[in-house]
Amino acid sequence: MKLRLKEIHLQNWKCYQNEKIKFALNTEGNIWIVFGKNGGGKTSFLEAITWCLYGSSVISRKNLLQYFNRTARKQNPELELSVFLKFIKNNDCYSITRTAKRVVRGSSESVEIQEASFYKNGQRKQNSREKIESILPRFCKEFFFFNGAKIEHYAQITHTEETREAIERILGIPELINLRDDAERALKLIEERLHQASLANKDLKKITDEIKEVQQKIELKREQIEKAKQELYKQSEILSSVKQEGNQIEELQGKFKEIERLKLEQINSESALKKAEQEVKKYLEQAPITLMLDYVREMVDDLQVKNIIATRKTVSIKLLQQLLENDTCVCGRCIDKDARQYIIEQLEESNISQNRTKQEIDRDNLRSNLTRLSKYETPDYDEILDEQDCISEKLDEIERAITRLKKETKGISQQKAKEIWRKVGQEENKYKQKQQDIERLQNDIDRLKHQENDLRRNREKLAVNDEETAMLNKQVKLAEGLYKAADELIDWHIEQCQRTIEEHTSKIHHQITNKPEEYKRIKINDNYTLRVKNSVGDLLIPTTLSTGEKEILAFAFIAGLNLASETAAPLVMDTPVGNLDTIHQKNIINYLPEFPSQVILLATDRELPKDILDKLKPDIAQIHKIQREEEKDRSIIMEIEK
Amino acid sequence: MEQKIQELAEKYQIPEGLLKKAIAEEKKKIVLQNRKLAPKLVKMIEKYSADT
Repeated sequence: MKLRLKEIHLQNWKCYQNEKIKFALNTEGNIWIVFGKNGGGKTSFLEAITWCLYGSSVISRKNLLQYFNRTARKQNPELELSVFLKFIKNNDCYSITRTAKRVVRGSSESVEIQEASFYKNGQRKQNSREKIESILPRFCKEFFFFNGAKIEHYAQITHTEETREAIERILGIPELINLRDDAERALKLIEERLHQASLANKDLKKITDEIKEVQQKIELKREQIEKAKQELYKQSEILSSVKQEGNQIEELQGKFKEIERLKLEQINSESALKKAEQEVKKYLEQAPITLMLDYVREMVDDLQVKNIIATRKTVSIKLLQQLLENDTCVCGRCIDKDARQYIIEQLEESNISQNRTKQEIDRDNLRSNLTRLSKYETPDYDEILDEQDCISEKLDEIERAITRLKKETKGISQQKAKEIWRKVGQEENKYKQKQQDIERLQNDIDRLKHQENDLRRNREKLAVNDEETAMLNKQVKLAEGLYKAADELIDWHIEQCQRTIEEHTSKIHHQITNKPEEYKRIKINDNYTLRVKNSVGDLLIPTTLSTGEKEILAFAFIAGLNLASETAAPLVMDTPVGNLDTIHQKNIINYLPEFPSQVILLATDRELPKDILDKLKPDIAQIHKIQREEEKDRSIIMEIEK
Repeated sequence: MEQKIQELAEKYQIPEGLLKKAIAEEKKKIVLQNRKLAPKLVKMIEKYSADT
């Protein structure tokens, strides 16, 4: 059964004077919505919860002065504010109250904060801090109280030591680590007793001393291995960051090549454009031909007729000349005087028109030229102009692409790319070196442990001779077994948890991301840092994702962690989807009914419009609304119909 | 977890009850800064070694 918030009571807290919300837990739905306008008091509501639980560690004493209700403060300068929370888990009821008083001395003012009171099933418990930690660890607050407005922060959510501890706390790992450490201490205590008991036996003492010496060596090697592991972790971060830089530059290298290719294409296109322009110019110059073509053809026909007539005339002259020369007609008769005279006259007339014949030659040339012109084929002007436009557009496109790529690769040179890859190589070598160091230290430890085991067996043989040492030896064996079992249990549990969280987170992320085809799964590293595996198998670090994608990743991880944990708490989300695109918004809202614990959304009506509310309706337990009463300078909270 | 505890108890020849009880004690004291559980574990070990 998960921890759920049942009631919250705010007195003189910021804009609230005396407001109480009771969350009806006996409903099917797991979603509670508190609507409020910007500046209405939603974030104050979230702050009240975290302050009640964790006090000055979330709101400093100085800042708390601003949290006293303004109106009530005017009436009573020494005002008291309080926040009361009631949680339910496994039929147990936990009530927590924190109170602070404003103290005015002359012109100065300060705050007196009382330690939170903690009640379990109506009974007050001592050490309220420890009790609160036991139900809602402070380190884990980021996972339960989610402020959508601070999403940048969530990009780094799994990169701090504090967060790593929080995750392990949720997963129940620290208790196993404590068990291993305590078992080791217990083993040392019992061994010391055995050492004391064996002082009388020379051989036993010698062997116990040897065991002690070996243990000290193991301890030293362990410290070294721990240090080396920390260094390896740091080195892995450096390597990952340098590789990321290298990959980015590699991507830029591709862009450099693309620029070269585009420049070549630009030269070809420019030459093609020049050719096309000349073509257009030529056709435009010849445009009158097309307009006169019909007239030219008519002229050709006319000249053709005239030519035929002229040819006939020439033939006739030749015939007349032959007649004169032969003195006989074609019919065989002699040409008489009259006929000869007539022919001579005709020939003279023809000689007169000699000039005309020259004209005819010119006309013939003209006809021949015009005939050639009349065969002119009219080009498709639309096609020619379209082709020119196409080349021109392509050229513009190439120029734009070159400008964009140049902008993207600004400041990057081939030299820098080489330097980065050389650095990657260096860092990889350092990483391998550290891995080898750890391996070598581990081998040393294994060898020493083997030596220790041999010595223990020998000691066991000697210890059985005495009742006390025999019993102490038995206890040593039990303590040692307990230590080893705890040690193995830690590794097993961490591996199990990581696998479970990875499975859940990947599944949820796939469900809510707007790129389900691109982002294949989530990888959780040993130090709980997250990586997104894409469709080509690359592991992306969260800092390379967009702001919205980071929020989605953080949400998937939080939900996955809740599913893998037995100590899940309510998820209170302020501005839950305000910074997300519509697909992410829709996906996250669709997922909320499946969220494995109570969800309280502090949202504006824009974030959860009617269509989304209607969709969520079957899973909504209650809706509350923060109403701002401006004339009274306060906010009130009321339940509204679903 | 239950199954793993059983497996480890067999592997390291310790009573399953001792391992379970020790884990339960650690869970109870998890929020305490100063747990001082080692002496308590010694007592538990003494008891189990006397019983077996």
